[in-house]
Amino acid sequence: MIEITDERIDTEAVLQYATSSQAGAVVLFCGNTREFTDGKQTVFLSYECYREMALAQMDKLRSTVMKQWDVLSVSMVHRIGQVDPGQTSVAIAVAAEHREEAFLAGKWLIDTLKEEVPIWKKEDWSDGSSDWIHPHE
Amino acid sequence: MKVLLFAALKESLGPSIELNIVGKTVCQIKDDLAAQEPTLASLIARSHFAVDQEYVGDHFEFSTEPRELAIVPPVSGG
Repeated sequence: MIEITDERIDTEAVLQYATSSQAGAVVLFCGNTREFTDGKQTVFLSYECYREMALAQMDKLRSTVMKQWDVLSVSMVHRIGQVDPGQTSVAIAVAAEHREEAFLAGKWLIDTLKEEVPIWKKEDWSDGSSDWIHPHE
Repeated sequence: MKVLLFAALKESLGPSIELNIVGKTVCQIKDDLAAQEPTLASLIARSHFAVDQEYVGDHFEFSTEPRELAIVPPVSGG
């Protein structure tokens, strides 16, 4: 399951998709909207994507993980549009025979997704201002 | 050709812009655009180009127009 959705992410479905009877470990990572950043309050985040490329890049990340680690299955869903504080913007599940591989692959996936996949967030702050987030490398 | 824009670039310049790219490198195109849009110069300098949905480096030179071209500002998904 590799998806970009406008809807709330069904994290249970992301988890179930990766789960199998061979998997002794399934790690689920949820990236949620944080209400406070450096003392500033976020009212909501708005996500935008370059859809076809983002899906292709997410698929490539999955292939890389399946080659590099002893992983059985990966599922990855990113939400776009408005995401309120406490809600999930990205969910990644990794299943493996053993937990070590599942944790390592899951960490690599979210770290690399944040660096490479063409998706952007805009912070709408409580003072009425808003900022697109374009990190300095 | 039509070049796709996203996020802060899209908010300032619209969903796409027309650029002449043939015979130029990504670096030259970025420099030209930055000179034309000085308030966005730093963001343009940090952006990558995607040719048919694959990243290319700053030294990539366009001999022809690709099917699709996008300017990808630094990403912030997750």
